[in-house]
Amino acid sequence: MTNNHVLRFPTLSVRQTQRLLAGTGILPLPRAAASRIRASVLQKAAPKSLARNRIRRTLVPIAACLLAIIVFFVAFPKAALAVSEFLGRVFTPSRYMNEDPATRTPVPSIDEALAAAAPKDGDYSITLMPDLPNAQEFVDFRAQNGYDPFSEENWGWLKDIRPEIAEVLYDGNQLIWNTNLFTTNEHVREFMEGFGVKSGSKLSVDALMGDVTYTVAGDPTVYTLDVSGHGITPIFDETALATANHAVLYSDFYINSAHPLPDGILTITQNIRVCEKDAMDYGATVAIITHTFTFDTTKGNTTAADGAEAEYPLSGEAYISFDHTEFSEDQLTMTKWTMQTQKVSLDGVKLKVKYEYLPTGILVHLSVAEKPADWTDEMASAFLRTTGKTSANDYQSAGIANVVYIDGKLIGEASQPESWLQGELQYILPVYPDQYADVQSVVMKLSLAYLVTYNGADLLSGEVYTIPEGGSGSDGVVNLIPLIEITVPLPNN
Amino acid sequence: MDAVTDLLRRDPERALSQMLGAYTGLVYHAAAAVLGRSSHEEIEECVNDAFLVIYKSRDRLDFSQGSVKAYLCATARNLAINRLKKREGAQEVSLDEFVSSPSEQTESAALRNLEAEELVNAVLALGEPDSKIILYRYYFDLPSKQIAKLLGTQPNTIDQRLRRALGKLNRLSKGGNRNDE
Repeated sequence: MTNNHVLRFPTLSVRQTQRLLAGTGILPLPRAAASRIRASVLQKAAPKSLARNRIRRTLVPIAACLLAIIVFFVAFPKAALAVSEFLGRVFTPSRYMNEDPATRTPVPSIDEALAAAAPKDGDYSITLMPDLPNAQEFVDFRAQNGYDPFSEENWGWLKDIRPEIAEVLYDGNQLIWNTNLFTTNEHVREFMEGFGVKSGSKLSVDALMGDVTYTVAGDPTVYTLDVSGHGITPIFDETALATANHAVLYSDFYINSAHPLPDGILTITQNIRVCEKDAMDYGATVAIITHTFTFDTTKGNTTAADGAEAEYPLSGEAYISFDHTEFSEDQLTMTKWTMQTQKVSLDGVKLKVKYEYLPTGILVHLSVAEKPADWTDEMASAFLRTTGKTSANDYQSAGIANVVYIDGKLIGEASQPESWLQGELQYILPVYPDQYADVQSVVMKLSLAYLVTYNGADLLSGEVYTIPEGGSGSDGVVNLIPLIEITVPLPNN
Repeated sequence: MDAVTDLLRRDPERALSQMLGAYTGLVYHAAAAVLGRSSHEEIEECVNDAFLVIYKSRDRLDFSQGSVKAYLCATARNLAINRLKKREGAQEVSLDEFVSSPSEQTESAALRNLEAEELVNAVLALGEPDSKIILYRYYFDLPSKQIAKLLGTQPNTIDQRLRRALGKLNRLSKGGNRNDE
């Protein structure tokens, strides 16, 4: 889905952008994405002199690592796929589901999960806007926002769309499905208008997921599912687009792992909103597709092995860097934002680690189970932030660094799935069920990075840095201290 | 000149680190608004390229026209728009070409700039918080729920204000007064 709204910003000059963005501060971004971008940019921007020095400094270790990796692959061939995925790119199930099944690199355990869900289409109906109960609301929106009045001539073709469930991925932790919307090639191109494809038609169409519910046989309750990410998958390849007979609607959902979907066959009813131009504009709805299908959760709820859980008491002293915010009475204005580093005792801190053995990898979840009475919530939250390496192979922000070793060999920093969790950390380790028997050990070495200085302020000596309105850069000098080594329990070991 | 922009001239490596800390979210959402939020990899590539091109072009940029933040967001949008255009068969050009030039003088560019200038003026004339709501919604493509969270209010309040603000913009574009209701 692209920004194809009622109002579209044209290409703006730097001066116009400057005026428009004045006073706009920081916008949130999932930590995993921010870390990936940071690492990639710093790596590519490294000046040649630094790169040459790094080459000299790291030539011998790299050679040693390559030898170790080669030995590792020879010794544990089944682990090779996992490690190559780990080193090659950040793998997330949502990316897998965004790729064309015909051309993506298969991951056997995920493909097994897809097959086990065995989705089957049920009924569907398509209601055009004038027949919707709240049609007047849409009529008014169109009149007020410059849309042509709804007409059967323009939109009657929507009745001929045939929805079909394509793939369902459910692993007890994540639920993702793709719905194919079959139509003519001309109308597929209209779905792609928002991505810049010129269809030659005067219409531009988009779709998003609306309300979604499910029922289970023998239970009269209708349960709701909360959609998280959704949108039409763009078709970039002109050759593929030339023969495309369907658009794909991707959707993923929030699943509370403490309350997974019930075992058995679920009947899903999804209401897909089809809109003119941009489906982010609810008022632009021109049709609702109500589609039912079933899928089997049994395999997804049956993890490769029972989950594991452990608590690790910490001890000694450490420094925690944390920020503190205060807001005005109406909560609309941030009145204070500071950064500081404080020496704390780790005695009384218990780290809780949960493991889930999923077809998509081993999901590791870290939280603070117990904290000393003198720790504030801000301190506890800051304790489990993530830090990332710079091009110079060091750290510049406070938080936890998690380096993974498989069978004693350094693999790299643990990959984090997209997550908005605060004060908790999640990692996905690419060790799949069919590899458990071959891998002897997976160890996460956690270190704690804290800020010594921040934007010139000496935090270690107790100075508190006030972040200016609209945010600031983050030029920090950090120290890194080992925190704990955690051996990930592996089934079959 | 703001501190990061100044630092980019004096100590580029430190400045790059600061830029990444402060602006990655803004630049990401600016590119995502053009490309669509399911195109994670393309968005990240645009963001990476925007940071790199500004970092590497730093000596040639006119920071009296705008800050590093403005250059980054404008460049990310241009890169994203170009990705869309590429599918229509446009030729690939050097990354440097996507740094917005403050002195575009072709007739068509002048016309585009005139329209853009009027729009920017109209959005800013809405005043706070409406101008910010319009910016978050239509420049960064954030959904109402997220805008509400950023501004500490309810999603339906955002929707109502958006509708009113769009109405004002429509009237302004037709020569009306911004205070007309």
